[in-house]
Amino acid sequence: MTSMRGFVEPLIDGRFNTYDLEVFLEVLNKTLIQYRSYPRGIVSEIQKLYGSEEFNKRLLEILFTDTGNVNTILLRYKRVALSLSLLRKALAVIGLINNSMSISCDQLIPVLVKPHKMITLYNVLALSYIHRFCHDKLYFTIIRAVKEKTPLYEANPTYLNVILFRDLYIYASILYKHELANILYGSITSDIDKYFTDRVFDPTERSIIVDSYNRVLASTLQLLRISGRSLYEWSSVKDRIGGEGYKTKYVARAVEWYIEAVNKLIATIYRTVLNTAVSLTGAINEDIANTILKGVEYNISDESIAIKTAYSTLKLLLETSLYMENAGYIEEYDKEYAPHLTSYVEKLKKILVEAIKSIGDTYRRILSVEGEPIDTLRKRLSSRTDLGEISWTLEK
Amino acid sequence: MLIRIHRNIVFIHDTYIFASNLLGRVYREIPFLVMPHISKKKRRLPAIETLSWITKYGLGAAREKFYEEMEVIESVREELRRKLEEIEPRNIFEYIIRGLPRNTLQTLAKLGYIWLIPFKNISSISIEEYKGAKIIRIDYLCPLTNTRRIFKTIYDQEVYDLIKKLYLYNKE
Repeated sequence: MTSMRGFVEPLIDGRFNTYDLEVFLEVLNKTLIQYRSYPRGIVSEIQKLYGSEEFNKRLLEILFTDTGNVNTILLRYKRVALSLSLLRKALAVIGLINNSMSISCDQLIPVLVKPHKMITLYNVLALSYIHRFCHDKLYFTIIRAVKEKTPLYEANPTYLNVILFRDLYIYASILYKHELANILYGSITSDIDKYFTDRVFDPTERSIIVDSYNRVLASTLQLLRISGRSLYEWSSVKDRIGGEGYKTKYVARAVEWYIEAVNKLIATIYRTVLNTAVSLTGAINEDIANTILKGVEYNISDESIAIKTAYSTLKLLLETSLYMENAGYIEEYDKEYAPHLTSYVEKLKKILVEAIKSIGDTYRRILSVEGEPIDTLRKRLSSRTDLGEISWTLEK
Repeated sequence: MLIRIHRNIVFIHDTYIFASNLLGRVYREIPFLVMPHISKKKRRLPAIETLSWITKYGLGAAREKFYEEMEVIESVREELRRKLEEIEPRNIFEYIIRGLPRNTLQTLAKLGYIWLIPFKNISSISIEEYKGAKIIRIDYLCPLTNTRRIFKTIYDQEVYDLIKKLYLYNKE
Protein backbone atom coordinates (compact mmCIF):
# COMPACT_ATOMS: atom_id res chain seq x y z
CA MET A 1 0.00 0.00 0.00
CA THR A 2 2.93 2.30 0.61
CA SER A 3 3.34 3.03 -3.08
CA MET A 4 -0.17 4.50 -3.17
CA ARG A 5 0.50 7.05 -0.48
CA GLY A 6 0.40 10.52 -1.87
CA PHE A 7 -1.74 9.73 -4.87
CA VAL A 8 -3.93 12.68 -3.93
CA GLU A 9 -0.98 15.11 -4.08
CA PRO A 10 -1.73 16.37 -7.62
CA LEU A 11 -5.28 17.28 -6.56
CA ILE A 12 -4.83 18.70 -3.11
CA ASP A 13 -3.63 22.21 -4.03
CA GLY A 14 -6.49 22.72 -6.49
CA ARG A 15 -4.38 22.94 -9.66
CA PHE A 16 -5.89 20.03 -11.58
CA ASN A 17 -8.07 19.42 -14.61
CA THR A 18 -10.53 16.77 -15.71
CA TYR A 19 -7.78 14.36 -16.75
CA ASP A 20 -6.23 14.36 -13.27
CA LEU A 21 -9.62 13.62 -11.80
CA GLU A 22 -9.96 10.66 -14.14
CA VAL A 23 -6.59 9.26 -13.05
CA PHE A 24 -7.63 9.66 -9.43
CA LEU A 25 -10.90 7.82 -9.99
CA GLU A 26 -9.10 5.08 -11.93
CA VAL A 27 -6.80 4.45 -8.95
CA LEU A 28 -9.75 4.29 -6.58
CA ASN A 29 -11.64 1.99 -8.92
CA LYS A 30 -8.74 -0.44 -9.08
CA THR A 31 -8.48 -0.41 -5.30
CA LEU A 32 -12.18 -1.06 -4.97
CA ILE A 33 -11.98 -4.03 -7.34
CA GLN A 34 -8.96 -5.43 -5.54
CA TYR A 35 -10.01 -4.96 -1.89
CA ARG A 36 -13.81 -4.53 -2.16
CA SER A 37 -13.58 -1.59 0.24
CA TYR A 38 -11.04 1.17 0.76
CA PRO A 39 -8.02 0.27 2.94
CA ARG A 40 -7.36 2.52 5.90
CA GLY A 41 -4.43 4.28 4.24
CA ILE A 42 -6.57 5.31 1.29
CA VAL A 43 -9.38 6.52 3.54
CA SER A 44 -7.07 8.87 5.41
CA GLU A 45 -5.73 10.21 2.10
CA ILE A 46 -9.28 10.87 0.90
CA GLN A 47 -10.10 12.65 4.14
CA LYS A 48 -7.05 14.85 3.62
CA LEU A 49 -8.43 15.72 0.22
CA TYR A 50 -11.89 16.49 1.58
CA GLY A 51 -10.44 18.93 4.09
CA SER A 52 -8.71 20.90 1.34
CA GLU A 53 -10.56 24.09 0.50
CA GLU A 54 -8.75 24.49 -2.83
CA PHE A 55 -9.75 21.03 -4.00
CA ASN A 56 -13.42 21.56 -3.20
CA LYS A 57 -13.55 24.94 -4.90
CA ARG A 58 -11.73 23.71 -7.99
CA LEU A 59 -13.96 20.62 -8.26
CA LEU A 60 -17.07 22.80 -8.23
CA GLU A 61 -15.43 25.05 -10.80
CA ILE A 62 -14.74 22.26 -13.29
CA LEU A 63 -18.23 20.90 -12.70
CA PHE A 64 -19.56 24.15 -14.09
CA THR A 65 -16.98 24.77 -16.84
CA ASP A 66 -16.35 21.25 -18.19
CA THR A 67 -19.69 19.64 -17.45
CA GLY A 68 -19.83 17.20 -20.36
CA ASN A 69 -16.47 15.54 -19.76
CA VAL A 70 -16.82 15.35 -15.98
CA ASN A 71 -20.26 13.85 -16.42
CA THR A 72 -18.89 11.10 -18.68
CA ILE A 73 -16.08 10.32 -16.27
CA LEU A 74 -18.25 10.27 -13.17
CA LEU A 75 -20.79 8.03 -14.86
CA ARG A 76 -18.04 5.69 -16.06
CA TYR A 77 -16.78 5.32 -12.48
CA LYS A 78 -20.23 5.48 -10.95
CA ARG A 79 -19.41 2.86 -8.35
CA VAL A 80 -16.55 4.96 -6.99
CA ALA A 81 -18.57 8.16 -7.24
CA LEU A 82 -21.42 6.70 -5.24
CA SER A 83 -19.07 5.47 -2.52
CA LEU A 84 -17.72 8.96 -1.77
CA SER A 85 -20.12 11.51 -0.34
CA LEU A 86 -18.51 14.48 -2.07
CA LEU A 87 -18.67 12.88 -5.51
CA ARG A 88 -22.24 11.84 -4.90
CA LYS A 89 -23.03 15.50 -4.37
CA ALA A 90 -20.99 16.32 -7.49
CA LEU A 91 -23.28 14.00 -9.44
CA ALA A 92 -26.24 15.93 -8.10
CA VAL A 93 -24.68 19.23 -9.18
CA ILE A 94 -24.17 17.85 -12.69
CA GLY A 95 -27.79 16.70 -12.75
CA LEU A 96 -28.79 20.21 -11.83
CA ILE A 97 -26.74 21.68 -14.70
CA ASN A 98 -27.88 19.12 -17.31
CA ASN A 99 -31.40 19.12 -15.98
CA SER A 100 -31.27 15.32 -15.81
CA MET A 101 -31.63 12.90 -12.94
CA SER A 102 -28.30 11.09 -12.72
CA ILE A 103 -28.64 9.86 -9.13
CA SER A 104 -31.67 8.93 -7.06
CA CYS A 105 -32.67 11.18 -4.19
CA ASP A 106 -32.62 8.30 -1.72
CA GLN A 107 -28.90 7.95 -2.29
CA LEU A 108 -28.34 11.66 -1.81
CA ILE A 109 -30.27 12.35 1.40
CA PRO A 110 -28.03 10.34 3.79
CA VAL A 111 -24.85 12.12 2.64
CA LEU A 112 -26.20 15.63 2.92
CA VAL A 113 -24.49 16.36 6.19
CA LYS A 114 -21.27 14.39 5.68
CA PRO A 115 -18.55 16.72 6.89
CA HIS A 116 -16.02 18.70 4.98
CA LYS A 117 -14.99 22.32 5.02
CA MET A 118 -16.85 23.59 1.99
CA ILE A 119 -19.96 21.53 2.63
CA THR A 120 -22.33 24.45 2.25
CA LEU A 121 -21.40 25.05 -1.38
CA TYR A 122 -22.44 21.51 -2.28
CA ASN A 123 -25.30 21.05 0.17
CA VAL A 124 -27.28 24.01 -1.10
CA LEU A 125 -27.04 22.72 -4.67
CA ALA A 126 -27.87 19.18 -3.55
CA LEU A 127 -30.97 20.48 -1.77
CA SER A 128 -31.94 22.26 -4.95
CA TYR A 129 -31.49 18.97 -6.84
CA ILE A 130 -33.79 17.14 -4.43
CA HIS A 131 -36.27 19.99 -4.66
CA ARG A 132 -36.38 19.81 -8.44
CA PHE A 133 -36.56 16.05 -8.95
CA CYS A 134 -38.37 14.73 -5.89
CA HIS A 135 -40.19 17.62 -4.31
CA ASP A 136 -42.04 15.60 -1.65
CA LYS A 137 -38.89 14.05 -0.24
CA LEU A 138 -37.49 17.44 0.68
CA TYR A 139 -40.47 18.17 2.89
CA PHE A 140 -41.03 14.77 4.43
CA THR A 141 -37.47 13.66 5.04
CA ILE A 142 -35.70 16.93 5.71
CA ILE A 143 -37.92 19.87 6.68
CA ARG A 144 -40.29 17.89 8.88
CA ALA A 145 -37.39 16.01 10.48
CA VAL A 146 -35.66 19.30 11.23
CA LYS A 147 -38.84 20.64 12.81
CA GLU A 148 -39.33 17.62 15.03
CA LYS A 149 -35.73 17.45 16.16
CA THR A 150 -35.40 21.15 16.99
CA PRO A 151 -35.98 20.83 20.79
CA LEU A 152 -33.29 18.16 20.95
CA TYR A 153 -30.82 20.33 19.04
CA GLU A 154 -31.76 23.28 21.19
CA ALA A 155 -30.87 21.33 24.30
CA ASN A 156 -27.74 19.78 22.84
CA PRO A 157 -26.51 21.60 19.74
CA THR A 158 -23.06 19.99 19.67
CA TYR A 159 -23.78 17.50 16.95
CA LEU A 160 -22.49 17.51 13.42
CA ASN A 161 -25.91 17.42 11.75
CA VAL A 162 -26.43 20.97 12.95
CA ILE A 163 -24.81 22.01 9.67
CA LEU A 164 -28.04 21.04 7.89
CA PHE A 165 -29.93 23.76 9.77
CA ARG A 166 -27.58 26.36 8.33
CA ASP A 167 -27.66 24.98 4.79
CA LEU A 168 -31.44 24.77 4.76
CA TYR A 169 -31.57 28.36 5.97
CA ILE A 170 -29.24 29.50 3.21
CA TYR A 171 -31.22 27.51 0.65
CA ALA A 172 -34.55 28.98 1.76
CA SER A 173 -33.09 32.49 1.60
CA ILE A 174 -31.66 31.90 -1.88
CA LEU A 175 -34.99 30.63 -3.17
CA TYR A 176 -36.62 33.77 -1.87
CA LYS A 177 -34.02 36.14 -3.33
CA HIS A 178 -31.98 34.59 -6.11
CA GLU A 179 -29.29 37.26 -6.03
CA LEU A 180 -28.05 35.83 -2.71
CA ALA A 181 -26.54 32.95 -4.67
CA ASN A 182 -24.04 35.35 -6.21
CA ILE A 183 -22.57 36.15 -2.81
CA LEU A 184 -22.01 32.45 -2.09
CA TYR A 185 -20.92 31.27 -5.54
CA GLY A 186 -19.67 34.52 -7.07
CA SER A 187 -16.03 33.40 -7.28
CA ILE A 188 -16.91 30.13 -9.02
CA THR A 189 -19.57 30.91 -11.56
CA SER A 190 -21.26 34.11 -12.59
CA ASP A 191 -24.64 32.87 -13.83
CA ILE A 192 -25.62 30.65 -10.92
CA ASP A 193 -29.22 31.90 -10.70
CA LYS A 194 -30.63 29.64 -13.36
CA TYR A 195 -29.59 26.45 -11.56
CA PHE A 196 -31.95 27.06 -8.70
CA THR A 197 -35.47 25.82 -9.15
CA ASP A 198 -38.42 28.08 -9.78
CA ARG A 199 -40.41 26.38 -7.06
CA VAL A 200 -40.34 28.34 -3.84
CA PHE A 201 -41.15 27.32 -0.31
CA ASP A 202 -44.57 28.33 0.91
CA PRO A 203 -44.56 30.57 4.01
CA THR A 204 -45.21 27.64 6.36
CA GLU A 205 -42.19 25.67 5.18
CA ARG A 206 -40.02 28.72 5.15
CA SER A 207 -41.05 29.77 8.63
CA ILE A 208 -40.26 26.27 9.94
CA ILE A 209 -36.73 26.56 8.56
CA VAL A 210 -36.19 30.11 9.84
CA ASP A 211 -37.67 29.28 13.24
CA SER A 212 -35.53 26.16 13.77
CA TYR A 213 -32.36 27.94 12.75
CA ASN A 214 -33.07 30.90 15.03
CA ARG A 215 -33.77 28.67 18.00
CA VAL A 216 -30.72 26.47 17.56
CA LEU A 217 -28.44 29.47 17.04
CA ALA A 218 -29.84 31.24 20.11
CA SER A 219 -29.33 28.20 22.29
CA THR A 220 -25.78 27.69 21.00
CA LEU A 221 -24.87 31.28 21.77
CA GLN A 222 -26.37 30.90 25.23
CA LEU A 223 -24.33 27.78 25.99
CA LEU A 224 -21.17 29.41 24.68
CA ARG A 225 -21.71 32.50 26.81
CA ILE A 226 -22.27 30.53 30.00
CA SER A 227 -19.41 28.09 29.46
CA GLY A 228 -17.01 30.91 28.61
CA ARG A 229 -18.02 32.85 31.67
CA SER A 230 -17.83 29.92 34.08
CA LEU A 231 -14.47 28.90 32.67
CA TYR A 232 -13.27 32.37 33.57
CA GLU A 233 -14.75 32.29 37.05
CA TRP A 234 -13.58 28.78 37.81
CA SER A 235 -9.98 29.59 36.91
CA SER A 236 -9.83 31.96 39.87
CA VAL A 237 -11.03 29.32 42.35
CA LYS A 238 -7.64 27.68 42.44
CA ASP A 239 -5.94 30.90 43.52
CA ARG A 240 -8.64 31.58 46.08
CA ILE A 241 -8.30 28.33 48.03
CA GLY A 242 -5.26 26.58 46.63
CA GLY A 243 -1.90 26.14 48.26
CA GLU A 244 -2.15 27.09 51.89
CA GLY A 245 -4.13 26.05 54.90
CA TYR A 246 -4.08 22.32 54.34
CA LYS A 247 -3.35 20.14 57.33
CA THR A 248 -2.73 17.08 55.23
CA LYS A 249 -1.52 16.49 51.76
CA TYR A 250 -4.50 14.24 51.04
CA VAL A 251 -6.96 17.09 51.34
CA ALA A 252 -4.80 19.23 49.11
CA ARG A 253 -4.74 16.49 46.49
CA ALA A 254 -8.47 15.81 46.60
CA VAL A 255 -9.37 19.47 46.27
CA GLU A 256 -6.83 19.93 43.51
CA TRP A 257 -8.23 16.95 41.65
CA TYR A 258 -11.78 18.27 41.90
CA ILE A 259 -10.85 21.74 40.67
CA GLU A 260 -8.81 20.39 37.80
CA ALA A 261 -11.46 17.88 36.72
CA VAL A 262 -14.27 20.45 36.69
CA ASN A 263 -12.01 22.86 34.83
CA LYS A 264 -11.36 20.23 32.17
CA LEU A 265 -15.07 19.50 31.92
CA ILE A 266 -15.95 23.13 31.25
CA ALA A 267 -13.04 23.53 28.84
CA THR A 268 -14.27 20.52 26.85
CA ILE A 269 -17.77 21.95 26.67
CA TYR A 270 -16.50 25.40 25.74
CA ARG A 271 -14.43 24.00 22.89
CA THR A 272 -17.19 21.84 21.38
CA VAL A 273 -19.80 24.59 21.65
CA LEU A 274 -17.47 27.14 20.09
CA ASN A 275 -16.91 24.81 17.12
CA THR A 276 -20.66 24.40 16.73
CA ALA A 277 -21.27 28.14 16.90
CA VAL A 278 -18.58 28.81 14.30
CA SER A 279 -19.92 26.21 11.91
CA LEU A 280 -23.52 27.32 12.45
CA THR A 281 -22.75 30.95 11.66
CA GLY A 282 -20.01 30.41 9.11
CA ALA A 283 -18.13 33.13 10.96
CA ILE A 284 -14.70 32.22 9.60
CA ASN A 285 -15.90 32.05 6.01
CA GLU A 286 -16.82 35.49 4.77
CA ASP A 287 -19.05 34.38 1.89
CA ILE A 288 -21.20 32.10 4.02
CA ALA A 289 -21.45 34.65 6.83
CA ASN A 290 -22.53 37.40 4.43
CA THR A 291 -25.10 35.15 2.78
CA ILE A 292 -26.65 34.28 6.13
CA LEU A 293 -26.70 37.89 7.32
CA LYS A 294 -28.39 39.02 4.12
CA GLY A 295 -30.83 36.12 4.48
CA VAL A 296 -31.69 37.22 8.01
CA GLU A 297 -32.44 40.69 6.71
CA TYR A 298 -34.77 39.39 3.99
CA ASN A 299 -36.56 36.91 6.21
CA ILE A 300 -37.36 39.35 8.97
CA SER A 301 -38.56 42.09 6.64
CA ASP A 302 -41.07 39.63 5.11
CA GLU A 303 -44.17 40.22 7.22
CA SER A 304 -45.75 36.76 6.92
CA ILE A 305 -42.51 35.08 8.05
CA ALA A 306 -41.94 37.65 10.78
CA ILE A 307 -45.30 36.95 12.41
CA LYS A 308 -44.68 33.22 12.56
CA THR A 309 -41.10 33.45 13.80
CA ALA A 310 -41.44 36.47 16.08
CA TYR A 311 -40.85 34.53 19.29
CA SER A 312 -37.65 32.85 18.13
CA THR A 313 -36.36 36.08 16.58
CA LEU A 314 -36.81 37.94 19.86
CA LYS A 315 -35.07 35.09 21.65
CA LEU A 316 -32.17 35.35 19.24
CA LEU A 317 -32.06 39.11 19.75
CA LEU A 318 -31.85 38.61 23.51
CA GLU A 319 -29.06 36.06 23.14
CA THR A 320 -26.99 38.24 20.80
CA SER A 321 -27.28 41.09 23.27
CA LEU A 322 -26.17 38.87 26.17
CA TYR A 323 -23.36 37.48 24.06
CA MET A 324 -21.98 40.93 23.37
CA GLU A 325 -21.92 41.67 27.10
CA ASN A 326 -19.82 38.56 27.73
CA ALA A 327 -17.69 38.70 24.59
CA GLY A 328 -14.59 39.44 26.67
CA TYR A 329 -14.86 36.18 28.61
CA ILE A 330 -15.46 34.14 25.49
CA GLU A 331 -12.54 35.59 23.59
CA GLU A 332 -10.14 35.07 26.47
CA TYR A 333 -9.75 31.35 25.75
CA ASP A 334 -9.72 31.35 22.01
CA LYS A 335 -7.91 33.94 19.94
CA GLU A 336 -8.40 32.15 16.63
CA TYR A 337 -12.15 31.84 16.05
CA ALA A 338 -13.88 33.73 18.85
CA PRO A 339 -13.05 37.27 17.56
CA HIS A 340 -14.59 36.36 14.17
CA LEU A 341 -17.67 35.10 15.95
CA THR A 342 -17.95 38.26 18.02
CA SER A 343 -17.84 40.53 15.00
CA TYR A 344 -20.42 38.33 13.30
CA VAL A 345 -22.77 38.43 16.29
CA GLU A 346 -22.40 42.20 16.49
CA LYS A 347 -23.48 42.55 12.86
CA LEU A 348 -26.35 40.12 13.43
CA LYS A 349 -27.56 42.09 16.43
CA LYS A 350 -27.54 45.34 14.46
CA ILE A 351 -29.58 43.76 11.66
CA LEU A 352 -32.08 42.29 14.11
CA VAL A 353 -32.54 45.56 15.99
CA GLU A 354 -33.04 47.54 12.77
CA ALA A 355 -35.49 45.04 11.30
CA ILE A 356 -37.54 44.68 14.46
CA LYS A 357 -37.73 48.45 14.79
CA SER A 358 -39.14 48.79 11.29
CA ILE A 359 -42.03 46.38 11.91
CA GLY A 360 -42.28 46.80 15.66
CA ASP A 361 -46.04 46.28 15.77
CA THR A 362 -45.77 42.57 14.97
CA TYR A 363 -43.40 42.06 17.83
CA ARG A 364 -45.32 44.22 20.26
CA ARG A 365 -48.44 42.18 19.54
CA ILE A 366 -46.60 38.92 20.30
CA LEU A 367 -45.19 40.31 23.51
CA SER A 368 -48.55 41.58 24.76
CA VAL A 369 -49.72 37.97 25.23
CA GLU A 370 -49.93 36.88 28.89
CA GLY A 371 -48.46 33.63 30.18
CA GLU A 372 -45.20 31.71 30.08
CA PRO A 373 -42.78 31.71 28.30
CA ILE A 374 -43.71 35.12 26.84
CA ASP A 375 -43.71 36.71 30.32
CA THR A 376 -40.11 35.75 30.96
CA LEU A 377 -39.03 36.86 27.50
CA ARG A 378 -40.69 40.25 27.95
CA LYS A 379 -39.08 40.73 31.36
CA ARG A 380 -35.64 39.84 30.02
CA LEU A 381 -35.93 42.01 26.94
CA SER A 382 -37.15 45.08 28.78
CA SER A 383 -34.24 44.90 31.22
CA ARG A 384 -31.72 45.32 28.38
CA THR A 385 -30.68 48.86 27.75
CA ASP A 386 -28.55 48.14 24.68
CA LEU A 387 -31.48 47.23 22.44
CA GLY A 388 -32.27 50.86 21.71
CA GLU A 389 -35.89 51.61 21.10
CA ILE A 390 -37.16 48.13 21.93
CA SER A 391 -36.28 48.21 25.60
CA TRP A 392 -38.38 51.29 26.34
CA THR A 393 -41.28 50.58 24.00
CA LEU A 394 -41.96 47.31 25.76
CA GLU A 395 -42.10 48.69 29.27
CA LYS A 396 -45.22 50.80 28.96
CA MET B 1 -34.40 30.40 27.25
CA LEU B 2 -34.10 29.39 30.89
CA ILE B 3 -37.29 30.08 32.81
CA ARG B 4 -36.84 28.54 36.22
CA ILE B 5 -34.40 26.47 38.29
CA HIS B 6 -35.90 23.89 40.62
CA ARG B 7 -33.90 22.31 43.47
CA ASN B 8 -30.68 23.61 41.87
CA ILE B 9 -30.55 20.70 39.42
CA VAL B 10 -33.76 20.83 37.36
CA PHE B 11 -33.56 23.49 34.66
CA ILE B 12 -36.87 24.35 33.04
CA HIS B 13 -36.44 25.92 29.61
CA ASP B 14 -39.18 27.07 27.27
CA THR B 15 -39.09 23.97 25.07
CA TYR B 16 -37.45 21.32 27.24
CA ILE B 17 -36.48 20.34 30.78
CA PHE B 18 -32.92 19.40 31.53
CA ALA B 19 -31.82 17.90 34.82
CA SER B 20 -28.37 16.78 35.87
CA ASN B 21 -26.82 15.64 39.11
CA LEU B 22 -23.40 14.51 37.96
CA LEU B 23 -21.29 17.12 39.70
CA GLY B 24 -23.48 17.03 42.78
CA ARG B 25 -22.74 13.35 43.11
CA VAL B 26 -19.06 13.86 42.41
CA TYR B 27 -19.04 16.46 45.16
CA ARG B 28 -20.61 14.03 47.58
CA GLU B 29 -18.21 11.26 46.67
CA ILE B 30 -15.03 13.27 47.10
CA PRO B 31 -14.71 12.66 50.85
CA PHE B 32 -14.63 8.94 50.11
CA LEU B 33 -11.48 9.50 48.13
CA VAL B 34 -9.54 10.08 51.34
CA MET B 35 -11.29 7.46 53.44
CA PRO B 36 -9.25 4.83 55.21
CA HIS B 37 -8.59 1.90 52.97
CA ILE B 38 -11.75 0.22 51.80
CA SER B 39 -11.96 -2.67 49.44
CA LYS B 40 -13.60 -2.16 46.05
CA LYS B 41 -13.10 1.57 46.17
CA LYS B 42 -13.93 1.83 42.54
CA ARG B 43 -17.51 0.82 43.19
CA ARG B 44 -17.88 3.52 45.78
CA LEU B 45 -16.90 6.24 43.30
CA PRO B 46 -19.08 5.81 40.20
CA ALA B 47 -19.62 9.54 39.55
CA ILE B 48 -15.94 10.33 39.95
CA GLU B 49 -15.07 7.54 37.55
CA THR B 50 -17.59 8.93 35.06
CA LEU B 51 -16.22 12.45 35.34
CA SER B 52 -12.69 11.21 34.76
CA TRP B 53 -13.91 9.27 31.76
CA ILE B 54 -15.55 12.34 30.20
CA THR B 55 -12.65 14.69 30.74
CA LYS B 56 -9.97 12.09 30.04
CA TYR B 57 -8.37 13.42 33.18
CA GLY B 58 -7.95 12.00 36.58
CA LEU B 59 -8.67 8.34 36.12
CA GLY B 60 -4.95 7.76 36.19
CA ALA B 61 -4.39 10.73 38.44
CA ALA B 62 -7.07 9.68 40.89
CA ARG B 63 -5.73 6.14 41.08
CA GLU B 64 -2.20 7.32 41.46
CA LYS B 65 -3.06 9.83 44.11
CA PHE B 66 -5.65 8.12 46.24
CA TYR B 67 -5.89 4.44 45.60
CA GLU B 68 -2.39 3.88 46.92
CA GLU B 69 -0.71 4.84 50.20
CA MET B 70 -3.95 5.14 52.16
CA GLU B 71 -3.15 5.66 55.81
CA VAL B 72 -5.41 8.57 56.50
CA ILE B 73 -7.13 9.56 59.71
CA GLU B 74 -10.76 10.57 60.24
CA SER B 75 -10.04 14.26 60.78
CA VAL B 76 -8.97 14.60 57.17
CA ARG B 77 -12.51 14.18 55.97
CA GLU B 78 -13.80 17.04 58.08
CA GLU B 79 -11.06 19.30 56.87
CA LEU B 80 -11.88 18.31 53.32
CA ARG B 81 -15.54 19.10 53.83
CA ARG B 82 -14.64 22.58 55.07
CA LYS B 83 -12.39 23.14 52.09
CA LEU B 84 -15.04 21.99 49.63
CA GLU B 85 -17.53 24.37 51.20
CA GLU B 86 -15.16 27.18 50.33
CA ILE B 87 -15.36 26.22 46.65
CA GLU B 88 -19.16 26.65 46.68
CA PRO B 89 -20.55 24.14 44.21
CA ARG B 90 -22.32 26.14 41.53
CA ASN B 91 -25.33 24.75 39.75
CA ILE B 92 -24.13 26.49 36.61
CA PHE B 93 -21.89 23.51 35.89
CA GLU B 94 -24.81 21.14 35.97
CA TYR B 95 -26.51 23.52 33.58
CA ILE B 96 -23.84 23.44 30.89
CA ILE B 97 -23.31 19.68 30.93
CA ARG B 98 -25.82 19.54 28.09
CA GLY B 99 -23.11 21.03 25.84
CA LEU B 100 -21.18 17.76 25.85
CA PRO B 101 -21.06 15.70 22.64
CA ARG B 102 -24.19 13.71 21.86
CA ASN B 103 -22.75 10.22 22.45
CA THR B 104 -21.38 11.26 25.87
CA LEU B 105 -24.83 12.54 26.81
CA GLN B 106 -26.34 9.25 25.70
CA THR B 107 -24.05 7.37 28.06
CA LEU B 108 -24.81 9.78 30.91
CA ALA B 109 -28.54 9.39 30.33
CA LYS B 110 -28.22 5.62 30.46
CA LEU B 111 -26.25 5.82 33.71
CA GLY B 112 -28.92 8.04 35.23
CA TYR B 113 -26.92 11.25 35.65
CA ILE B 114 -28.94 13.43 33.28
CA TRP B 115 -32.54 13.73 32.08
CA LEU B 116 -33.51 15.51 28.89
CA ILE B 117 -37.25 16.00 28.46
CA PRO B 118 -38.53 17.93 25.42
CA PHE B 119 -42.09 19.05 26.17
CA LYS B 120 -43.18 17.55 22.84
CA ASN B 121 -42.16 14.09 24.02
CA ILE B 122 -44.08 14.16 27.29
CA SER B 123 -46.96 11.72 27.47
CA SER B 124 -48.26 12.48 30.97
CA ILE B 125 -47.61 14.69 33.99
CA SER B 126 -49.00 13.57 37.35
CA ILE B 127 -48.65 13.95 41.10
CA GLU B 128 -47.82 10.87 43.14
CA GLU B 129 -47.08 9.83 46.69
CA TYR B 130 -43.71 8.31 47.35
CA LYS B 131 -42.63 7.30 50.87
CA GLY B 132 -45.05 9.79 52.37
CA ALA B 133 -43.90 12.72 50.23
CA LYS B 134 -45.56 14.26 47.20
CA ILE B 135 -43.67 14.05 43.93
CA ILE B 136 -44.15 15.20 40.34
CA ARG B 137 -43.93 12.34 37.88
CA ILE B 138 -43.32 12.88 34.16
CA ASP B 139 -43.56 10.08 31.62
CA TYR B 140 -41.70 10.86 28.43
CA LEU B 141 -39.84 9.50 25.43
CA CYS B 142 -36.14 10.15 25.89
CA PRO B 143 -34.74 11.48 22.59
CA LEU B 144 -31.19 10.45 23.51
CA THR B 145 -31.83 6.78 24.18
CA ASN B 146 -35.16 6.45 22.33
CA THR B 147 -36.81 4.68 25.25
CA ARG B 148 -39.79 5.51 27.44
CA ARG B 149 -38.59 6.89 30.75
CA ILE B 150 -39.88 8.37 33.98
CA PHE B 151 -38.65 11.49 35.69
CA LYS B 152 -39.53 12.19 39.31
CA THR B 153 -38.89 15.30 41.33
CA ILE B 154 -40.11 16.76 44.61
CA TYR B 155 -43.51 18.43 44.37
CA ASP B 156 -43.81 22.18 44.13
CA GLN B 157 -47.07 23.85 43.16
CA GLU B 158 -45.50 26.63 41.09
CA VAL B 159 -43.21 24.27 39.23
CA TYR B 160 -46.09 21.91 38.53
CA ASP B 161 -48.21 24.73 37.12
CA LEU B 162 -45.31 26.01 35.05
CA ILE B 163 -44.61 22.61 33.53
CA LYS B 164 -48.30 22.21 32.66
CA LYS B 165 -48.40 25.66 31.05
CA LEU B 166 -45.28 25.05 29.00
CA TYR B 167 -46.54 21.63 27.97
CA LEU B 168 -49.65 23.27 26.53
CA TYR B 169 -47.63 26.04 24.90
CA ASN B 170 -45.41 23.54 23.09
CA LYS B 171 -48.30 21.38 22.00
CA GLU B 172 -49.68 24.01 19.64
